[in-house]
Amino acid sequence: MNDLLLAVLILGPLAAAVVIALLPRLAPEPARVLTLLVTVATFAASLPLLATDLGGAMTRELDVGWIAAFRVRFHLGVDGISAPLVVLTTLLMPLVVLASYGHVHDRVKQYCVLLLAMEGGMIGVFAALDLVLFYVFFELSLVPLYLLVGIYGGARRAYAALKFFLFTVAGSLPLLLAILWLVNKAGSGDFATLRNLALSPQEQGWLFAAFAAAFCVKVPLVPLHTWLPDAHVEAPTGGSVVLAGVTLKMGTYGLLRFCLPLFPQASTQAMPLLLALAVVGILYGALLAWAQGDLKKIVAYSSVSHLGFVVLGLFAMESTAASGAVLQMVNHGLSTGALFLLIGMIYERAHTRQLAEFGGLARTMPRFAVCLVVASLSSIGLPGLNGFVGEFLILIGTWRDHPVAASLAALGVLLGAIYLLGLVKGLLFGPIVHPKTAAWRDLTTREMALLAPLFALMVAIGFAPQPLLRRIEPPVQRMLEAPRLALEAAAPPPPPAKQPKEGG
Amino acid sequence: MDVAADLAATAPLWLPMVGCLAVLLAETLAPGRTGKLPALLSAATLALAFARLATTGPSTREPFGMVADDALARSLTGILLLVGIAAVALAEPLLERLALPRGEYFALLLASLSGMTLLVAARDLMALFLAIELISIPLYVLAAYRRLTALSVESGFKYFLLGAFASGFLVYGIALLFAATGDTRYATLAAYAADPARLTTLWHAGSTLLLVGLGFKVAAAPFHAWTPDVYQGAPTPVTAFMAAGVKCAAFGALLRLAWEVLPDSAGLRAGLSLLACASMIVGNLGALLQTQLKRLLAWSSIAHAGYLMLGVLAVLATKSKAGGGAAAREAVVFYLATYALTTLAAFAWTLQLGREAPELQDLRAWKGLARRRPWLSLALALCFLSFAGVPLTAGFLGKLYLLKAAFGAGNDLIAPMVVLAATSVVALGYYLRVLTTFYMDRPADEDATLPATFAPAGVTLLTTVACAAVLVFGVWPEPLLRWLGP
Repeated sequence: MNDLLLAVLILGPLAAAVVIALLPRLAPEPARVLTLLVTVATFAASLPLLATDLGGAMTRELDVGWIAAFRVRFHLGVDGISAPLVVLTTLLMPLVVLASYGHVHDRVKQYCVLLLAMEGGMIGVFAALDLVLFYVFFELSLVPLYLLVGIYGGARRAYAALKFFLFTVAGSLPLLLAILWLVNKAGSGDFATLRNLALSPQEQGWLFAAFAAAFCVKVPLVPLHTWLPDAHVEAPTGGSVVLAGVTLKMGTYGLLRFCLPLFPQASTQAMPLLLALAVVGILYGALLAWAQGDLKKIVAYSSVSHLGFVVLGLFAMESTAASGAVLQMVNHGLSTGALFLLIGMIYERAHTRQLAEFGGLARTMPRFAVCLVVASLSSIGLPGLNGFVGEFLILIGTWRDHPVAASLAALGVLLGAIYLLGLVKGLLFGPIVHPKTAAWRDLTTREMALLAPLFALMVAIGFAPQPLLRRIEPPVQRMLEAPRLALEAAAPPPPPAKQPKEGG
Repeated sequence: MDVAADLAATAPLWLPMVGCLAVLLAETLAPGRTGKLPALLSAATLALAFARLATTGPSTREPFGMVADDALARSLTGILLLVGIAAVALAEPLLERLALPRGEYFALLLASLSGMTLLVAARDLMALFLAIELISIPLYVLAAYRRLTALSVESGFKYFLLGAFASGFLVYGIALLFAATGDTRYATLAAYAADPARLTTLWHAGSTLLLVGLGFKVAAAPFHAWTPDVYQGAPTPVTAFMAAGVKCAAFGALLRLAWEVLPDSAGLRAGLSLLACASMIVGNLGALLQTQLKRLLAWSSIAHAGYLMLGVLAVLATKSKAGGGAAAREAVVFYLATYALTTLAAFAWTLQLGREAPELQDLRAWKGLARRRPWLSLALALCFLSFAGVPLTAGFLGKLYLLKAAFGAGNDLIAPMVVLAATSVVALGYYLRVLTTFYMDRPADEDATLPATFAPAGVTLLTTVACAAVLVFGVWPEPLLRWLGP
């Protein structure tokens, strides 16, 4: 029953972080190579997680006592929702380390330590099945990212890092109170126990609000999104990739894993509000992205828009849409991760991120051009690439019960095409603007190699999403059971006139 | 009354006083020529007292009819003795460097410490008053110990004036309670208060004044005004002793009063809630503006007094429920232990870097420190993350336990808990600024040689051990919980 794999995946990087920190006078290069080895090993070790239970049950569970006085257990496990997210995390980390060759030259050892600490925390968030443990990891992953942005970021890094930290903590302290309330009520913070806890509608309302506050800040859902562009613009490339690729998913993951199954009635009551905010986020994020001149800001606001799709899919409370949403979490990690990496690469050459200063790169940097086009098309949702599958599932799933929301969201796809193609056009085509354009080297083999796995997965998921969806759908249905029941209980009975019509 | 048995049971309480007398004796026999002897003697008696404490268990007896020998008193005494040893380790090298007389210092320190150990065990208002005076009077002198430095003298004088004022409240409160009940023993007071109908204006006025007096001692708002100046002016080892020791001792007394004497009433709850919320808000907002490390820590200690007051409130609100408020008591004691640990580390660190020079105790002098002194920066960053309650530090578990215990009273205490959560976000504003200064800011002059640190072995060892403990207990608190538990 007790499987140690998840514990190894979490504690391994954390232990490696401590060891690397303690190694005296470790030169930058050995530190980087060591970190790369650890992250690659973690990725390899995480692959067996994908063999999830197709019935939707938790696998690879580990349940040992941690702090008896607080009734906290070290309870881990994954299912078809969390396993892909864990693997996404372990996949992105080696790429981030590889990318650091281009832009981190100062305090490299610290950078490696922070990345490894971050990795352990993020895997813990997706694997924790005890709420207090979940909170510990949720907060734990904040500090390294705060330092990554604050130390290695741009000119306004300290401001951006502080804003990011304060926004997230302001959201997560109500979460802590709510979790402790639940632990006191149920006598345990275990997810399985809490699912069977009977809560009055009023209690559910408060608890849902506290949980949703934490997760919606993290997603981020409009109007709580203002920290995101600041953090992204100031963060180093690696920080942006981790931030967009993984940490934003902690919010949507929390909504699906905890809010929906634990507080079904409250979730159904809040559904209209969240759907509305999701749609507003999709459109507003897209419009803002369209208006930006800074490459990173464009992608940052596109994240607001894309994560809006995920929230829409989750709160449509329909299994196709929600499965699409989970798939879209992975997709967003791949495509946005690739876009941030590409922007980082061009920034290393040009030292500017202003769209207006670029042009005609297709002629001087053909490899870069191809990569950027594919990543953008994946983000837009072109059929044959991964983004299409996720968005399409979300839209059809939502359409059934919420046609208005789905149609408005579809408009977001269109806007996405406009601003992302605008970015592609501005960068790659037209006359050469920057006087030094000719001096910029095309992508190196290292850069191509680190992008390759992302592109391979974009195409693979685009053509054959079934292996992944088959794993995602059963646990998603489990999470939606309670809210579906609540929804049916709340819905007015169908008009009696309809029955004979269908019969005849 | 079996005097021998009573003496045996209270050995950890009177041993520091014996140490104090021994130091004084040594100083009289060889004035000014005792060298390291006073420090060694002090540390040895405290270690002996601790060993005595660790090898005996709690009992239900009430030695001399005035003090308790229960788990609460013993765990707090244990924390206080360790704080005392740390205070000795901090003070010795500094006194040597500044060529200040050492014998008197350690005698005063031990006298004050014996007051603290008496205070957490006191079960009689007379013992309580005696203990508080025994703590305070040596501390007035210690705060002004650098008598040629204006700031230190100001600190001692201010502490003395406001402390005397607080003692006035306290003793008047005790007198009123005596007038109401005819006794000063906790057991009699509790029996009297068991019938709410009997509680007269005298009782209410007396218990209010008593709380006001203790509020001064724990630096709870609105009785906090002395704290920043006194903390800043006193020599850093004294400030560390004051911050960790007085807080533990005075909260120990409050805890016992709330548990054994004061009846749970809406009025009292409202009063304590007010103290708690005011301290959290005032302390955290006040700290936002500080750049002097010691002043910043002073304001943060006011905020922590507010958090701890919530714990006292939880004891009051849960003592009639199942478990008799045991969880809340343990939570407060655990919080005090983590707070004392972190505070000692933070002040030891301030001493190392600040070297008692005001300009070096200013955060702005240390921009970009992490690059030059990575371990020292990491140590202080860890302390501040623990103060802020970030996971994997002891401070986080302290807050977690406190909040969990407060939920033991159902939803009654939700208002101060929400204030705690909200002000914790404010607190991050200044705790993280320290990290920003060390890790993110660039020094004004990259090539300037960094001012030397004051790093004698004792101070470095203390910082290292305390920081390691903050981390270890943040991940694996079981040993600490078991030691502090009943």
